[in-house]
This record gives sequence, C-alpha cells and structure tokens, in this order.
Amino acid sequence: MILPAWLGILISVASGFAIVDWLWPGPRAWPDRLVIVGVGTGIGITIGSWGHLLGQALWPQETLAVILIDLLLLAGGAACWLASRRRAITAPKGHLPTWKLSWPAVAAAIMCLIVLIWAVPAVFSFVRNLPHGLDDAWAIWNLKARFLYRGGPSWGAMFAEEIAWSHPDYPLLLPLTISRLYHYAGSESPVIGQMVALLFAALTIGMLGAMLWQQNDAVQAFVGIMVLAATPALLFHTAWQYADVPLAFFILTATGLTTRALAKTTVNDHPRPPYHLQTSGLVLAGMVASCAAWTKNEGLLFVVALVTAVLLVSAVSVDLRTAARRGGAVLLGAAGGVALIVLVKSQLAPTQDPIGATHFSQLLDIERHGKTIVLLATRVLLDGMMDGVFCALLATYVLVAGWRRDHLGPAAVAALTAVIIVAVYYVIYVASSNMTWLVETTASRLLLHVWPTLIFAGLLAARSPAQMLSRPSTGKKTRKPKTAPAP
Amino acid sequence: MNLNPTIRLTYIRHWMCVLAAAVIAAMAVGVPAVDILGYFRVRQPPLPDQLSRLERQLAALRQNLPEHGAIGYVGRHPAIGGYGRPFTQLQYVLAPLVVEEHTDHLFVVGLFTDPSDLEAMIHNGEFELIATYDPSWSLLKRRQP
Repeated sequence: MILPAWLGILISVASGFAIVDWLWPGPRAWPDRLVIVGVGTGIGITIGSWGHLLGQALWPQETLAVILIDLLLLAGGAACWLASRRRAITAPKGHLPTWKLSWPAVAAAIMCLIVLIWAVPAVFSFVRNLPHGLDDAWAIWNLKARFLYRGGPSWGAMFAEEIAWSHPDYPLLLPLTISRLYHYAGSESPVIGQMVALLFAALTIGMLGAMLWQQNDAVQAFVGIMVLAATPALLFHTAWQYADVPLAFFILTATGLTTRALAKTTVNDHPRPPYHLQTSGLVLAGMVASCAAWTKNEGLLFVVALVTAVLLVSAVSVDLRTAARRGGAVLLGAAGGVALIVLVKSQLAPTQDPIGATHFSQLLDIERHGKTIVLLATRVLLDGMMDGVFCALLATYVLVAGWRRDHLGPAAVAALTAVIIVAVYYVIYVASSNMTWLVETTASRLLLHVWPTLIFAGLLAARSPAQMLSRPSTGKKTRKPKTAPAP
Repeated sequence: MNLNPTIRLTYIRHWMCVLAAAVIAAMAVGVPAVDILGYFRVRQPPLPDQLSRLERQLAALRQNLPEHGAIGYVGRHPAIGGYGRPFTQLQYVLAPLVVEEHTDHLFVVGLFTDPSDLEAMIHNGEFELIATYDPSWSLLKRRQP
C-alpha cells in the first residue's frame, strides 16, 4: 500500500505552498500561483526532510514521530498562510496580466501535447525495467533511505567509513524524503523512490513552463516544456532515480525566482516590483538555492555561481552598491540551509574528497583541453542523451524570434549562472587524473543540471511569435506622455 | 481565446513568425521521433532486475543475522567494477547491517560460485556453515575458540 505515501507528499506541498505564499513578493496572478505551488513543493519537501532528520535524531524509527513533526510543519504552514491572507498584496486594476491564449499559443500547446504523449510512456517503461533505479540510486540514495528507515538508533551506520563507496558525505534530501515516505507507506516499496523521481521530473517540466509563462509568454512556456520533455537525459535520469533531476529542478527554480526579482517589467508591462519586494524575491531564490545544496554537492557550487552571476550582472548593469545588496539578499536566503549542510557534513559525515584525484597543473596542457572538448562533444551531442538536434532547433527558434531587450539582463543572470557551473565542471574534467572515465560517466547528467536553466534563459530572452506580430516590440524605448507636475 | 493577431505575409517579421512556427513544429514531431525512439533502438536493452531477484533470494538470510552491526563478505565473482559487484548489492539488501569485504567478523556471507571454495573454508575449521541460499549464497559463523 503506497497510497498513504501520497499523504506525506500532500503535507509537504501544503506546508511548502503556505510558506512560499507568505514569503511571495508582489501580486499573485494565476501563473504566479502555479509557480508558488512548484516552489512550495520543493521547499516543503526540503523542510519535511529537515524535520525527519530531527525526528531521526530524537525518536529514531518512530512513525508516530514522523507524522507529528509533519503535522507541526503543517500547522506552521497554516499560520504562514493566515498571515499572508492579512497582508496579501494585490496588483492594481489594469495591471493584472491577461492570460488568454493566442492562436500561436494554442498551436504550441497542441504540439507540446504530442511530445508529452511520446515522453510519458517512455519514462514509465524505463521505470518498470529498473524498480530500484540504476547504480547511483540504489547504491547511494535508496541505500541511505534503508539505513534511516530500518536502522533504528543505529541509523548513523550509513555514515560509516567502511561503506565509503556509497559516499556517506553526500547531502540527504532524497534519502530523508524517501525514508519519510516509507514511514507513511509502512513498507519499503520501490515505488516510493519512483514516485519521488517522477514528482521532481514533473515539477521541473511544469516549473519551466510556469516561469516562462509568468515572465514571458505562453508560447515560450509550451516550447520550453516541449524541448525539456523530449530530452532523453531527463527521461532516463528520472527513471534511474538519480538526484540530478531534483538538483536541476532547484537550479531552475532558484534562477527563475532571481530573474523575476531582477526583471524590469514582467508580462503585459506589469510594473517593476518595488525595492523591498525585489529583495524578498532574491531571499526566496537563495532559500531555494540552499535546497539545491541539500540535494547534491554540486548544489553548493550552484549557490556560489548564482551569487556570482547576480553580483557581476548587477555591477555591470547598475552599480556596485546595488550588486552587493542583491548578492547579499541571495546569500541571506541560502544561509540557513547551507549552515545545516555544513553542520551535517562536519558532525555526522566523514570527510571525503568531493572531486576525486585532480592535478590542476594539467590545465596548462593544451592537448588535454582538445581531448576533453572532443570527448565532451562526442558524449553530449552524439550519445543520444542530449542530442544536438535540440540545441540547433532551440538556437534557431531564439535567433528567428529575436531578443526582448528588457529581458536581456535577467536572462544574462540565468545564462551566466549556467555557464559558471559548466566552466567549473570543465576545469574538473581537464584536471582529473581519470578524465575519460569521468566524462563518460558524468557528462550528460552534469549538463542536465543546467539544461532546464539554459532553455529558460534562451526562451526568456527571446520574443514569442505572438510578440513578433504585435507592432510595438517590447523593450524599445517609447516616448513617455507628458504629465502635469503634481501640485 | 484571443484570435485577433493575423498574419499578412507582407512583412518580414510575419515571415519570421511563420519560420519560428515551422521550427516549433519540427521540434514537436522530429525531436521525439529521432531522439527518444533512436535511443530506445540503440541504447536500451531490457535490463534484468537483479536487485529484486537478490532480495527474494536472501529474504531468509536477513532473519538469521543480527539487526545491527557489521558482517563480513567473501566471494569470488567476475571482475565487475563499480556498483555491479555482488558485494555492493548485498549491502543494499542487508542494510542497516554494514557489510565489509573481509572475514574478520562473527558472521560472514559468502558467494561461492565454486563449491570447493565453501568446502575449503569450512574444513579450515574457522567457520561453520549456518545455511545456504539459492543459488550460491552461504551464511557462515565463526567458531568460538
């Protein structure tokens, strides 16, 4: 019986939604609400895993304790929701975006449906083949979940150095979430791991669409969903139950929240959020970034990359003071989650080298760079996981559609974040003493971390066909009507 | 639905719009057909679910072992790297016991594809055989001195 496990997920969704709704900066049109549900689910699952960690420390293997802690979180969420009702910010009349579907959007939606009809059965067929997931899933994440669920007071054995091959120092979002849902289900059904994997895949695809719709246009949303849902790397890593998909979700979400906070205008010339709302938007983005760090070690790199991108783009486009304020807001949001990760890593998990044997002197070897690039290109473009067809078609679409000047700044933050992450991965590849093996086993999934974000950045910056048809293109400076000075 | 925007193919931007729509259509039909089906054809042989099978085989073994602590493992198996080794799969099945790849423990689980290895270990006098499980798994207990 895994039906009760859905209750655990629903509690996470409800408490997370309430918390994010409380923290949400600015008005809430219905596409905003879609984003709030997505962000809330991610944050709710993360907070649920923190609660379960606390429960394991105090009352290990007690299902009642798991449920009580969750109910406590739900009560906290309810309090947040009530508070948000009191200070709900509504958009002034005339500024609410009109979310009617134009005919290009309807056409894109139909084509998007075609892709989903291909993709959904494909991913389910793979899930059926591998009920426990592929190597990393059962040897790292599901193994830890078993230690947590079966271990009782000795659950800490999962950090033993004798099983260093299972990477005891890895972050615990997935093991804690799966173990928590085992308690709800009352069994260790492999379906729980599959549920979590499919949930995060659906969240990633849905969040890409919702954020593009919220920040640009419905056509872009459907195109984004189409490209991401047809990416074999996403489908396979979902079926394999790897943590790379949840990580990609948090990277996309935090980046999307950042671009929204930094946007000059949103859809339909919605007014720029006021100063304090922009800051709270960046704090929320930082919180989600810390969820990425709680998912995989690469998430810590993402926190650094996001802060760096915000600092650089803001310093270039505005000034240093604004850059420092924005970067500080993201860091403030990430601080709590990162502190917990540091605590767990320093107190519970044994210290392990996160990147393996590396020789940074190899970065000076030009021949090695060439070899790495060829190997990467071969793996990424030709092995079928991340086909070059995608990149070519997406790039063509963006180039044909043209740029939205008003979106270039936020899109630059998203693209720069992804580029920094990829650059660090590249440096590690070149410096690794086992480069060929590392590229062959990790290239497609490491690129998957940033792939949804790259799609988002491209489609955020591009105009949609509907916007191409409207004569005054968005972003061009228009003469302001003269208004009489206020008395 | 807002059906107002019309395309009159007299403007370049309208032609670009048609081109963009064509690209979207190509993506919708071509990408899944080429990539997903291509990947199925080239890369995806049906994988045997070894873990579920191993869990069924060793269900009785778990009942003969302590709930917590560490046990040993001994076995001769093909040179498979990474997580494909029976040793790592055994750890997954027996968690929260910690399985170590040596015999310095009270209980040792062995994978004896060659029965003479098991006989040699028992005749050595250090271990006694507790039980065997399909197909080649055995549970051994160290004799008390």
